[in-house]
Amino acid sequence: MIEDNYIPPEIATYLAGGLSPEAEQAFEQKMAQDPALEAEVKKWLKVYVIGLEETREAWKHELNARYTQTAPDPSSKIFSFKPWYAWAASAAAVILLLVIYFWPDKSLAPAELYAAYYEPLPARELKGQTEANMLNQAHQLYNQKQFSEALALYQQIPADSIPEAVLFAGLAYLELEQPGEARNLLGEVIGFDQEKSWYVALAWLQEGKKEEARTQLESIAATPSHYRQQQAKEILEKL
Amino acid sequence: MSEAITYSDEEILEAIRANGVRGRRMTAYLFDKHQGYVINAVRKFRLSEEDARDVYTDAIIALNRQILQGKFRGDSKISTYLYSIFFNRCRNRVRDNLRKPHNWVDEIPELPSRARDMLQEIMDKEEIKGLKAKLEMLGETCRKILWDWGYFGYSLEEIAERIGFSNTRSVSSKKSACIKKLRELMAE
Repeated sequence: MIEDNYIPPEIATYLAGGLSPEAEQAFEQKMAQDPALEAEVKKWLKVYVIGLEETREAWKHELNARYTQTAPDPSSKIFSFKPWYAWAASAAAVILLLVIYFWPDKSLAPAELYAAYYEPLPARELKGQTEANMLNQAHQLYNQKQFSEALALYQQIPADSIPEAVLFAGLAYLELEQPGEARNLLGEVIGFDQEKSWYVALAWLQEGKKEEARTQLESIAATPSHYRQQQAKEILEKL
Repeated sequence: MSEAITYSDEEILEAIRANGVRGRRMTAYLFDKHQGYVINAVRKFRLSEEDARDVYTDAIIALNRQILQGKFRGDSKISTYLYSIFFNRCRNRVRDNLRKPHNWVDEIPELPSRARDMLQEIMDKEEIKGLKAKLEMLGETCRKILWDWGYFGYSLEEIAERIGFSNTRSVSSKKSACIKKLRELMAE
């Protein structure tokens, strides 16, 4: 959120993305022809980032101080034992450790499993037609982790001519942590059945929907030719 | 013994979106509430406690920014969302095995594409260092006023309290003087 309180207004509006597409294009053309203006924008952008960085560091410092205040101190004495209690406590601790060790339930939270198993699908560039050029641009943005921008381009590509664009639009939503949108789009992809089913399962995990994820993963685990069969089985064991 | 106060996801979102002191307090509440993730990460990712804490603090700040930027709309529980940010960052920390400089390009989504490229160039060349020294000349109070106003959305009353000024009029005139000084410094 770039405020125009200390950055010159025209530059602040540009940096805040507040210009219309036409005005933004005109401003960027003006910058391209006017190195002094470009240098000025760059200079204020630096100031903005420095402010952001200083603010962030100060805030981190404040939050970390809370950690020290609130984290349990491992050396603190919670109970004061009389000597004979110490033996009883030791025996109880051993029994407790044995119970924990042999306890069968080792389930993990869906979001944790998502974090452990999510790997981005590589976006490979194509060459040729106009749509493919746009797909290339979108893939480049995707690979640079500019997911919102990549998404905007993927959504301009006709779905019936390049289904891969729909697949990656869904994956961009997943990266943007919008699993509901991701699932909707992945459901519309023509082909890419294995990738689609795997990432839909991950979207359910990201959303924290355990049962829906389980159903999807069971279907993958039951398909011997599925490239993620092994991982699906592993997740099901941990879910 | 008094019971700890708890807030619903709706209350948390509302306070963080309001920004300023309320947003900061609610973010600190979230920070306290989910600190257990740190120990979890030490165990699962074999990170040092210091690294895990660093990643956790980053994740909390990222969550705050994503709520403010409207990227998180409450489709999932806040705890789930935070967990996913935190664990992704832990995974990246393990993968990279080092502390990279913060990637601002990803954290300022409102930047137009050309400005984004410019920022990438600036970060790559570490052009920022020289300017930092220059901004030191603004003085701590000015920087605090400008950043509190521009980034955290503190009201003049809140800033007055933070910097120990007696009234908002003094903050307002100090702020104007700071902007003037900043622009003069930048013009040099």
